[in-house]
Amino acid sequence: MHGTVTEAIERATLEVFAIMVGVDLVPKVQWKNTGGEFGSNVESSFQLSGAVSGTAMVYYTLTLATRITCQLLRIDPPVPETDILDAAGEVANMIVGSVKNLLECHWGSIRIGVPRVVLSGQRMDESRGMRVSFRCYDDVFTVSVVFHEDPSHWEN
Amino acid sequence: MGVRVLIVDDSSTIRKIISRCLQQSELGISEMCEAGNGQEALELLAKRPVDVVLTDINMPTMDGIQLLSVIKQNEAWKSIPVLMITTEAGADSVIAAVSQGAAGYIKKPFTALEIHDQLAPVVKAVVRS
Repeated sequence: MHGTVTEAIERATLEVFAIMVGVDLVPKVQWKNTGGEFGSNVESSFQLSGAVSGTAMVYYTLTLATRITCQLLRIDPPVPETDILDAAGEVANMIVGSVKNLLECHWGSIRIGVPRVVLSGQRMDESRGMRVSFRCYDDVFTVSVVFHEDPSHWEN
Repeated sequence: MGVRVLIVDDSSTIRKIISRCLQQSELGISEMCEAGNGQEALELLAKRPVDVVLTDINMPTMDGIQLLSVIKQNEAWKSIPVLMITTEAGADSVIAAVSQGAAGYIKKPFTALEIHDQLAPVVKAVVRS
């Protein structure tokens, strides 16, 4: 199950960045989950329901989110915070949508809730779930999926 | 005379990316307008009809499926081709859209070429008519 989810995360994220952002990522890198002062990170989270129940999250630094926004919109900084949150959220939406499509092949219909995109400084909760970190430019971001129930019974 | 396109998506990022793709597409798009949800799209259509609608499916206030339904039930608008933009190719919402008369769909993430290839036959038919 872990392999199914992490493979889906890796495949979906690489595809979205190659096609929309035009950037090649390096997957499965080490990520320092240090948090920071408030506003230093952008968190996009999505509730999953249906065949599985959980939360998918994409976690960037604000610096990286800004750079991704500039690349998507072909603009130079400074960029309004609303534009950064929208762009970062939309990239996360496409990643999670693609992960969902891949996981549905294994587990059946999954619904994605309305995205929640916020600035934060908190450390990401690494105690549960599956995650893959990616190097993008000279920064690292993480995509994670946490299931609300023990998914071990889902595997055949 | 050029083709007028309405882009409907709650993400300003996606609207800007699609606008850029259309500007660079050499499809003869003369005018683009944007709306953040289905309700705003209907308000724009009431003021000035367009030739093609590109709409996201999942939006607040009024989603793309509801927008498609209203357009197809309106005598003045029902011949306007509507293409759906979605992360969920093959899902129930896409099937529902096509059965309600959507002219096609574009899956996110998309390339400029994919936008062009989905739109080209639709624009050609509009110009011919």
